[in-house]
Amino acid sequence: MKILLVEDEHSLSEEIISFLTGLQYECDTADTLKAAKLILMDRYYEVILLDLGLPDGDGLEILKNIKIDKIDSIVVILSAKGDIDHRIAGLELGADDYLPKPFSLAELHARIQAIIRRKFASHGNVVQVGAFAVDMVTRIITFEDQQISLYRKEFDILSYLILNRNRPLSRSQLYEHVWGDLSISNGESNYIDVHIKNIRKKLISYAPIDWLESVRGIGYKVKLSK
Amino acid sequence: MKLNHKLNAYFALSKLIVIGLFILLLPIIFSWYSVYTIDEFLRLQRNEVFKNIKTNGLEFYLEGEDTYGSYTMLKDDYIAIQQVAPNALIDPKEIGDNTRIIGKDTADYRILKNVFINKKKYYILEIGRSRETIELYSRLMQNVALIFLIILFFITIILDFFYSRRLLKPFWAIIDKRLVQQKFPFDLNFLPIKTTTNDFIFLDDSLKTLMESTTKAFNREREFTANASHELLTPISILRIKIENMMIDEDLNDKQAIKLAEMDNTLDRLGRIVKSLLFLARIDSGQYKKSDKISPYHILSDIIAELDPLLEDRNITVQLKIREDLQLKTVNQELIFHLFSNLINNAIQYNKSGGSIEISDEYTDSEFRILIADTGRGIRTEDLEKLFSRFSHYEGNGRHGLGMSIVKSIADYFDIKIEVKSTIDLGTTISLVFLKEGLNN
Repeated sequence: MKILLVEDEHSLSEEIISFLTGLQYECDTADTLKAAKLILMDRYYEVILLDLGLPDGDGLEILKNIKIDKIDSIVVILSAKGDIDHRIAGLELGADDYLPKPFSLAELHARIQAIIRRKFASHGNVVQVGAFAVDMVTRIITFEDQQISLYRKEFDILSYLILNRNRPLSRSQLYEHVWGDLSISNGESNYIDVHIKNIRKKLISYAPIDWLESVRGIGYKVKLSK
Repeated sequence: MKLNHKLNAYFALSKLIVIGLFILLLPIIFSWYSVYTIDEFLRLQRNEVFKNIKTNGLEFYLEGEDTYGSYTMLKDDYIAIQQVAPNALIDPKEIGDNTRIIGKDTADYRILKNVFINKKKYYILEIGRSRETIELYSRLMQNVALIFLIILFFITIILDFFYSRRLLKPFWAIIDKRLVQQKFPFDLNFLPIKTTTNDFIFLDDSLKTLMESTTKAFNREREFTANASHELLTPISILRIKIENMMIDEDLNDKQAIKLAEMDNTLDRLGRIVKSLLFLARIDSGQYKKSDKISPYHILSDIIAELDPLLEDRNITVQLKIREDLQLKTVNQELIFHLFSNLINNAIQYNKSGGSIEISDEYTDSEFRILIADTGRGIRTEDLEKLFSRFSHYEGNGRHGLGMSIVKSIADYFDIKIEVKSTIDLGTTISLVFLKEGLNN
């Protein structure tokens, strides 16, 4: 899967690229509007990550071009301009998602995956986690065909950990993921722990869950063999 | 009392006083004036008589008799000439009031007496006019004047009323358009109020200038907050992502990983502060549309459901006792969610284990309230004042003290009043006071 990152802040784009490459995505970058337009004339990208405040213009122009050319790329806007109008303008122009800065890479990954699943309804939505099968699209978790009911937020946390498997996620990352914009004004550090405790309680009656690890001093991790 | 009511009341009262005085003085003035004119008339008649005597001789009247007397049919006037002794006692006053018998009737007259000599004989001339006629005449004049005054009174009152209305119209327009209709952020695209009164033009201009400078100052502060926050977000982004990438590294030992996680937490806190400031700036600049219809019951149920695990963990019970059919109009779903979620979060955060939260509603004629009461540790009176000010208190646990400022900004944005009652160790009740107009019925 090919991703184009349009971002003028080099230290930021380097880190994002290194992260995405690590996840086996094929990545290119463009640091100006002009460069982005040029590269888009040549190649097709499944995903375009678009910063709006570019040195030579507004990133929204690329969105307009994509719409005119009827290209079906997924566009995720990455912007520090959190204005409502800006956000609405981006989404109205056909962006698939809007990720305000500062975002976490785990969140970026989750958002890209969610849109890919939504847009391409791809196969392999079911992830086998220990003895459990987790369907990321229908949001159903089963053990030997028995459906286990989780609260919405519980599933959010679990799927986020599964998606970012084999790496620890901090409580604040998890909190930000499940509460989104609301996370800015709330701050209950205990919240995630309570949810994890409940998830464990619900799952352990079916099968062992040693894949769901607590990482001391950090948070939680889902460990899966590659 | 409104200005024009005061003015009109003053106009009417002052006129009534003037007219009342006039009515009191009217009989005196009129009786004096009618006496004066009658006297003049009597003198004129006398001169006429003397002129006749001069040209035609006294015999013109006497016709051989000693006396002459003549009166009108209704005995209103009479004229009499009579010979008198040279030493006869004559009232020294030229004109006076007296009773006379004319024909067979006795009546009061205003009488002019004049002694004159004709052919070495003394005569007295009397010309009289009935006092009754004089009074009749005076009363008539009084009545005419009174009617005229009353008509005048009403005409001027009506004129005053319309004129003062017209005069004050621009003033009311200023009050209505500049003060009543305007809400912050002000709409500055307004035309000057049409008026020729300089004072009003000055008032209108001054208000406009004041609103412009307030808006400018506010915008400057807001833009600063927005720009500064925006500028801060990019470096925070870079740092966060760098740390995140380092944490993925499998060569990391536990100690380093924990240090990185701590750094990430700190950055997360910083990011949240900056985002909260941006959020506040966005609310204050009116970026959120007020077009949603929402049901507080459903929003609150959602929030409580989301927080259920936490409530269970702390053994806190929540009672949601508000009307299910209650609907708010012209609000913003996202902001109202923030508002309630912040308040409920606080009610949990500061509650005791095993405590409770009660959400209820109250209705009066003009407003309704949603009350959120907790059984927490309470807020000290001296802390209540700064409850809503930004960064005035550090809450600990990574909480940045902007939560209540956000609550306040959202409440202000929708004209919701907030009242806080708190007792130490017993709990806090936050009332959100909505205007009835905000209800969707």
